[in-house]
Amino acid sequence: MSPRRLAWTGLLLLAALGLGSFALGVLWPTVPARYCPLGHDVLRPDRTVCELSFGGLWVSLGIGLLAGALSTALGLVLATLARLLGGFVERWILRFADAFFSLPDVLILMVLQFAGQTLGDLRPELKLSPVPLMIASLGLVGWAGPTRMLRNRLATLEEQEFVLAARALGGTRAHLFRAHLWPGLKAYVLALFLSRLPAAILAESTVSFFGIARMEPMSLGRYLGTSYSAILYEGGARVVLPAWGLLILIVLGASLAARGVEGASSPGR
Amino acid sequence: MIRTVLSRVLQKLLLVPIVALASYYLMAVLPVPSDEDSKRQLPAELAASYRKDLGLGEPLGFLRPWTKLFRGERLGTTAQGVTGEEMLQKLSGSVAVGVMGLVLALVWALLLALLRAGGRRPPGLLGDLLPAIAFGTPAFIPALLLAPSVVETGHLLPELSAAFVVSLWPGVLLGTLLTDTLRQEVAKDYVRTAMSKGLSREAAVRRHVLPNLWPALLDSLPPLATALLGGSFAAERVFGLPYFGQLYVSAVLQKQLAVVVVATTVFAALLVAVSVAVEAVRLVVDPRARDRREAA
Amino acid sequence: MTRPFHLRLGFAALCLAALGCGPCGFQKNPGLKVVVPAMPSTLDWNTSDPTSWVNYPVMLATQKGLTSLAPGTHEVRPGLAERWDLALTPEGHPRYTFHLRRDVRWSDGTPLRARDFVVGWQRAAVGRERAELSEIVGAKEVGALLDVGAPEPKVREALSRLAVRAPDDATFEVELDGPRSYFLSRIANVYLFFPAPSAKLAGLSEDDARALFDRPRDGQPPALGPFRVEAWDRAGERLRLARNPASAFAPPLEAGERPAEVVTLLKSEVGPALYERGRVDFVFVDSPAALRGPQPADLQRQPLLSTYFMAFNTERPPLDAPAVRRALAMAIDREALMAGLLPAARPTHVLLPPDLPGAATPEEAAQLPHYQPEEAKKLLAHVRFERPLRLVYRSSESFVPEVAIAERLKAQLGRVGVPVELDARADFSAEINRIAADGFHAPDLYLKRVGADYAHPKTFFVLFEKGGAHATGWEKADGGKAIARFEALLAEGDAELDPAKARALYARAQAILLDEQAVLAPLYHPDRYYRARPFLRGLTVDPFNFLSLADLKLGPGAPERP
Repeated sequence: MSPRRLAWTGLLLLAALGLGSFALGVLWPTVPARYCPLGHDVLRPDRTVCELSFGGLWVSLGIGLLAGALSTALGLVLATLARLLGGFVERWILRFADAFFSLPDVLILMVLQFAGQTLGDLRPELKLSPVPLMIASLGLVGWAGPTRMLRNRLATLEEQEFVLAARALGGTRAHLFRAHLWPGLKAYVLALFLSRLPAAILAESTVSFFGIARMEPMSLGRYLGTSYSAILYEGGARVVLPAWGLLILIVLGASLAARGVEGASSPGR
Repeated sequence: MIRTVLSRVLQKLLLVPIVALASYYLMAVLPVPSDEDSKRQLPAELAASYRKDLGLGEPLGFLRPWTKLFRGERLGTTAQGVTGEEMLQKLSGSVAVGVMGLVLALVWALLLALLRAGGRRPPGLLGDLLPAIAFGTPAFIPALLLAPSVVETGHLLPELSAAFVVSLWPGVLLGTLLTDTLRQEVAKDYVRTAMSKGLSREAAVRRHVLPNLWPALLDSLPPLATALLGGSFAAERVFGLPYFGQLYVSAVLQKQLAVVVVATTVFAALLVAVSVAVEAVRLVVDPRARDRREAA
Repeated sequence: MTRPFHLRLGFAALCLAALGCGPCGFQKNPGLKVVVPAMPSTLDWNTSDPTSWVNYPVMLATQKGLTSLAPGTHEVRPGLAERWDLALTPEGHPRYTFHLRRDVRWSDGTPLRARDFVVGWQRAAVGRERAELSEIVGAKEVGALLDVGAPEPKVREALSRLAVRAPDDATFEVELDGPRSYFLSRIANVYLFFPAPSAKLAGLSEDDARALFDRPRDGQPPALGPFRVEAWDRAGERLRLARNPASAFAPPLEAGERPAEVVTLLKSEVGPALYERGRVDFVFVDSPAALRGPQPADLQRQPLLSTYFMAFNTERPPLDAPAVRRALAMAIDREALMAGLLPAARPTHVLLPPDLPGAATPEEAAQLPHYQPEEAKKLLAHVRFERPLRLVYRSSESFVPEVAIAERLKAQLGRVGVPVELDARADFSAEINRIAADGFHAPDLYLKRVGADYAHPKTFFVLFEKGGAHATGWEKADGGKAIARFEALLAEGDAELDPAKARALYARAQAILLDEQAVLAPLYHPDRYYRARPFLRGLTVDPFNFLSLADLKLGPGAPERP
């Protein structure tokens, strides 16, 4: 499949899931409540599995996208800064990114969630409600990878001949970036952003599993993380497997889109 | 060469104090009330343990948890805190499970890479589904499916199962990366030369290509270790393994700040150790690395 | 420690380098495996912890009280004390004099002495559940000093005036501030009143004393009961009990029975699945998922003397008006709340369970706030809720389906125009006790379960007394007069010898709590489900929700484990 088609397949899948979930979760909530073939949830017998898992998908997707955007934006800013200032600053930014990158997502997320919640308890004026806190934590967890990769990409692009030519012709840094570097970077940024999405949702799910995250409204990640125990009992598979399947679909969509976008944009094609 | 190697190692070692300081100050920034009015914000014992263990307000306060640890004292409250000995014991368990997981992950990765790169037809959508399943599966789901059969059976079965479950995702991730590298290598001239000299494809891959995969494998070991560590928290909880991951989670849930600081630093140190070990192995295994050093 | 720590550190690092895994797969004979829903929060039985229910299985297996309760009838019988006398002091205080058995030894060989009780009860008076001792002369003063954070010498001085004495090694005296009919049955099981090993604790700092209990090793802490704690692995969530051969309380064995040498209490995510596969011998079936499916043949149900309720923060508007709180209590349809959640449920609007001796009659119960939606809507029509009320509940799974109940409550209250936001907390006890920035307790509403420790209404009321862990602020209601009347009624009831009159007094006290001040809205009386292997004899779950291992014996059919 050509990269373009891959990208479009992935993006369409994500859009379909997200919009469908929003429609059934927010606009027409009685539909999944009444017509769910999977029956009612075990921990919350008044709500159906469809309502909780599919209806919560857009929350997870939204959080994942916003968190991914935050990390990628942070990464872009830091990478550009690193290349602009160069030398000492660049080395230290990279070292810091490496340091951060080498720690597991879940660990940092647990610490950030814990810190955020404790701060909110003890100083209510600084309290963040669960969704912004989760987005901020996930965003802060994921900036290191994009920073490194964008910085390397920028370095590669800068060595291209047309950039050297532009510089020789007296182009300012701003012009260089806007006219020559950014076009080559755009698609890569998009690919990175899309690849952060599955990691964010998985991390959210794992943190809910430990009971550290408090998410209202119900998100897919939290649903999976709190109702996992049903899988041990009879009839529990119908509760857990659909949520799991939806998560896999999101990951599939995101990775297809990311690969497609990157494939369509890599220099030399 | 020695100097370059040393400088790279030192750069990596820097991570440990960075993490120690960062986690300490993150915890210290949490307002730990010291005045009378807010005494009821925290249970008295917990507040007392913060004051003792974190050395808040002191200039070298960040060293306090470490000095206490080194002296063999306990960090945290009496009921929920830990001593250095206990931490080391639990760490050794986690490391053992991690090593088993590492080996398994490498096995999955190589198998996947050989399977995918070996086939002539590109796999299509199905080939994307397998990684999607692996990436989209939180570690606790396969753990739960496997747990009833192995928990409380002894004979290292829970540990092996935990290693198995934790190695799936990183193994598949590594496999997809290796597939690309493998494909690139197989397309190179020396392989064509070897085959044109009469070697079968499999023999060519085995004798010429696989050894060239070492650098890629080594490069991927540190992120692999990170991914294994991330999955170990959930796996240890589900399989009932009393090791470091469980210790960390319960420290966070019980708000044992000093333990969280120390444990985070220990994780960082573990990952740095992996990184340094990888550098050492690379020097031995990859002649190009040695040459690069000498040229530099 | 025989060698300095850094040498051990080096040695351990070496082991680590050799990838030796100390605890890997190595399980000393675990003996009987009992899956419990939560590990103890502390093993220091005098100092205790607000989540005390988790500590009972271990405490009842390893320690003993002055008295004991007969199974079934709950009559008071001798325990560590072989007999006792009751006299009145000149000030009118009842003084109990307990004559201790002389044949009882701690597991490390030291004999039990009366001083052990003095030390233990003094530690309890400064511990985290000290309200339970408030009727001992002098205890309230100690509590008051601790509440305001008085300096230690003052506290110690007040403690020395606590009316507990050991005139000689075999006699223990305690003075109460008034007649208390429940006192003897209470000290049987409430582990705060168990003796402390004073010989071991002499000279230890507070930290070291707590460490003696919370870090079991080398035979510490000493035990009096049929088991002692051998090891407690917090991260692995297992606790190992070994048989205490020196105990004077070993269960009598019949033909074909033998004692259990080792019992391991463990917490597991997959408990019921492990029971199915024969890998554990006892499991509580707490998860609603497990109870909804087909029920196994050996599933046993124990109705508990317990109540699950929603408590109000009586200080923060708009809940500071009793009428509003009463309206909320009347807005809840308990039947609908519990429908379909459990195989059998007992919805209720009273605090004292009907089968508790001293509970209210049906006529009295009918007077208390129950489901009256029209009344509730009328009362709430004039109330404006500027922000949603925060309902806090425990996020960990327990045998109460808290998530479902919380969500249904939110829906029900929402239907009468009361906005509620839910907040599940892992740090539940800390959260409900936390004082928020406006000076009141942090939550507006919270869900909690109270369980009886003995068969007397006092065990329910003690939570709501001054100094109790009710976290509702109701001690300030009506300028403090409401709680004063409440406590006066309780004191009268405790001193009343005629059970019918005492019952009427307790009913009036309950009415103050539920009707006049509407401090809480009871929801249902929980049950406990469990499965146990047939060869386990003497292992019971009683109506007090105590998992009792004290009489545990293995019958024929028990496997021989190496």
